[in-house]
Amino acid sequence: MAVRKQIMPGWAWWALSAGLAGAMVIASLSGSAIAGDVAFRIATLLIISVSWNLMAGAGLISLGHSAFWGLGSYAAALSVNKLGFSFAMSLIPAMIVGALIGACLAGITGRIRGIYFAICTLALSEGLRVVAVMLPDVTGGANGLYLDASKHPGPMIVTLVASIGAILIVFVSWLLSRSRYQFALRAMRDNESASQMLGIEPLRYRVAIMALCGAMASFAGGINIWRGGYLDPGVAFELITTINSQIAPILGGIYTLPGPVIGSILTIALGEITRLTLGNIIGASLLLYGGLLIVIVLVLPNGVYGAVTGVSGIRRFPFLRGKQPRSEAAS
Amino acid sequence: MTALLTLKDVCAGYGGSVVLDGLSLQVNEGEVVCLLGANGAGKTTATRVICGLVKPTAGDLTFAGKSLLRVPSYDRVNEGICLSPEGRQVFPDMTVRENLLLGAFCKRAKADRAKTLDEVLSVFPRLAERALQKAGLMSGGEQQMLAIGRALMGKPRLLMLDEPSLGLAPKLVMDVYEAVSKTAKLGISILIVEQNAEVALAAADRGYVLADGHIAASGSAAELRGSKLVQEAFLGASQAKRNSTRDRRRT
Amino acid sequence: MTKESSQPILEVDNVDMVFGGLRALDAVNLQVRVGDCFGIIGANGAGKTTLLNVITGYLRPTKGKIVFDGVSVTGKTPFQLAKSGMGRTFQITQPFVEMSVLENVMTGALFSINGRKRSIAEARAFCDEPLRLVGLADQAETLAGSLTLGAKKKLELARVLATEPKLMLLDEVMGGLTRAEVEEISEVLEKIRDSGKTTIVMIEHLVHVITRLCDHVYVLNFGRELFQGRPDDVIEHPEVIQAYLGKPQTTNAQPSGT
Ligand SMILES: Nc1ncnc2c1ncn2[C@@H]1O[C@H](COP(=O)(O)OP(=O)(O)OP(=O)(O)O)[C@@H](O)[C@H]1O
Ligand SMILES: [Mg+2]
Repeated sequence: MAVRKQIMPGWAWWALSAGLAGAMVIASLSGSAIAGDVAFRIATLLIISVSWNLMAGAGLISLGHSAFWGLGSYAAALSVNKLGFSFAMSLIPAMIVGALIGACLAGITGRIRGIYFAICTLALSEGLRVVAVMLPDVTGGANGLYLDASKHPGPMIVTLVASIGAILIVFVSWLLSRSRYQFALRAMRDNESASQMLGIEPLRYRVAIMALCGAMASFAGGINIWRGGYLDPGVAFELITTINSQIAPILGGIYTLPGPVIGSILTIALGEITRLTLGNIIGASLLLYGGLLIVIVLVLPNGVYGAVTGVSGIRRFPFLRGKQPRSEAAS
Repeated sequence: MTALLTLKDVCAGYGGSVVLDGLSLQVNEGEVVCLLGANGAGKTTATRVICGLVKPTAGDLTFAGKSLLRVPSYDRVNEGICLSPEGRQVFPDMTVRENLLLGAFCKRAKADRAKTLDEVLSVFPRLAERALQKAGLMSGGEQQMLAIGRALMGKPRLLMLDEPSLGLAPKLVMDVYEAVSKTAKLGISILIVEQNAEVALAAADRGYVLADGHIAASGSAAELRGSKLVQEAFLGASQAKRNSTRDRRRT
Repeated sequence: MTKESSQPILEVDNVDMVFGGLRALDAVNLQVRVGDCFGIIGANGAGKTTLLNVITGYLRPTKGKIVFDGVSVTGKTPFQLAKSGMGRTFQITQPFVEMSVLENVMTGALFSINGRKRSIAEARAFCDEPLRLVGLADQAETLAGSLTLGAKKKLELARVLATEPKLMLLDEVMGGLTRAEVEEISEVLEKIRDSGKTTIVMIEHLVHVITRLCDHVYVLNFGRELFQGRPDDVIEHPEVIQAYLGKPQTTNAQPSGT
């Protein structure tokens, strides 16, 4: 990997990761409503931001993560209400639907890249919302639907599964970052046309990564329905889901492995702090939250991880940042 | 002859690393100067400093008697400093004609841009044939012609050519250098950065050799051509060795 | 020479490439034999890069056929051709700018035919050789986007070498290099050619490099064959001098052995 400032030895990274994972599990099991709530929100945000970041790392900037999220929610809710699935079982159709829609989107968008791809994903999520409104028999239309409460395993189990899911998904992205696929994905992001000449088949990697990321995001959507128990098209395909899924990685360090983790914890923490301090003045906490986000992005253009380690996934002006090479003179 | 451009003890770099380390050089009015150096010696950085794309960390930079240090790069074009950058850097989605006209965007060149355009197109007839083709679809050499043409469009007082012969067929290299001589006759100063030392020295009045970020040798073109340093590093003094391998192969 | 009897590895059969109203390639026919070093020269815009793009599947020819290793490959995509053993460099360099030099070359070493069996550690070790050959070993950790132009050209070569191609197509890899570096790279290519494992097709404007390395030279002019033959015959051919060299080689601006 790129030259990196060694800020911690390898074991310290492991210890820190294990500590964070442990804290998530303990918070889930603590029985405290607030701790459980925070853990749940961090877990779901972490999952969609890892998913978004992985796709972005392959050059696929998504503006439609709420599509995966919403489909996952509907798949889980309908499998419970119509087919009588249990909590655990309901997450499986959610992931399958997410993977399928991801793979299809990869196939349909073909070679489309950049802004055009982003617009396709945005259109998908808006389109799905409209479809959901127009199918009242299935989705309850604009009135929404309520999850069959008799199947609810209790908030502690739901939070625990979300936390463990998040931990596993970070682990998957760690595995990916050490595999050969990482090279193919980065090469595609950087220069898809040149990558072909090295034997990289773009469509194959694209379908694979989007299926994986779709399954992840739909899992998060699927589990989220177990918290509120209510779903309507507006909630399912909310734009804020998409926005959150990208704020966290950008804040933490886009294209990097720890970026989404740092970013998710930070955004939830910022949100909580501003809510607790200014919660009684309507709008003020949101204003402060937004302001803080802007300041962080301005001060740390490479995210927190980039600022700390000097590693950034993104290089805006490569010729100004990198080390200017000096070859040994002609001999 | 009066000095048009003077660099005095200029230091510059990227991030933490130093590339130019006390570079001093001078280009007089109407003079063709070439800058030679190994890959990574800092030649391209020197052109970027002169254009204002890289800020010097120390030293002074004057153009036509005025310090350039506080002049931003877009205003330097208006002072008459035009660069044909290394590796072309044309605007790929614009047509050839649009690229050329953009070269005359500054105040100083705008008024006579129609006339300059005709002149440039007469130097590179291929650009005239393909005026409406997207620049990104031109061949490598054609894009190089376009980059040089775009720099000429700015009606420069100082024309900087970074690797102008790159990707050009031998015949066209001659055409470009002929154009360089013609341009110089009009009183325009030219700074050429080249790997192809032979052609550059043939066209230049004077030359500098850049090594480790500062000037290692300088002199008239003839002096440099005769110097051992230049011969070994840039003019292929290993000729004998090469011919022998070639002969071995032919037998 | 035994070369004459060896199998053709690449055949370009009556290929046309038309862009709108422009006929960039016009009935091009050529044959490259296994183990050859095949040079392509021609004026700017003659169609050399277009020919390479057609051969490597980046463009689909308007007419005609490409045969690689005995199989027709017309219409195949670049990655399919790469998998069957073609490798190329790009005239306008296309490094992965956000990767280090080493990572660029590793990408080549990981996805080629042999590369699929390699672990990442093996690929890393394997890349030492190509990096050393082109002279980028001490810049392995540099970000590719911040390389000088000459170094980017060397990186293109290292990356294609890492894919261990049967047929390697080089589009002006020596641009932006100093004389000494041209000398070094020529020696590297000479060794590769003499090893007989890789057939080389090279486009180059440095005529002395072409005459030194190539067994056979093909001259394109306005998309058509102007002449082909042994390098010495080519540079003495009056039409080649007139259309491409400008004046006879010995006194030409590009110095050659005098
Ligand atoms: N996609 C395209 N659309 C239109 N014209 C094109 C396209 N690609 C190439 N051309 C034109 O076809 C001609 C041949 O281009 P090509 O790149 O093959 O030239 P070349 O022989 O490689 O030249 P050079 O030595 O300058 O690299 C050029 O005139 C170019 O402008
Ligand atoms: Mg070309």
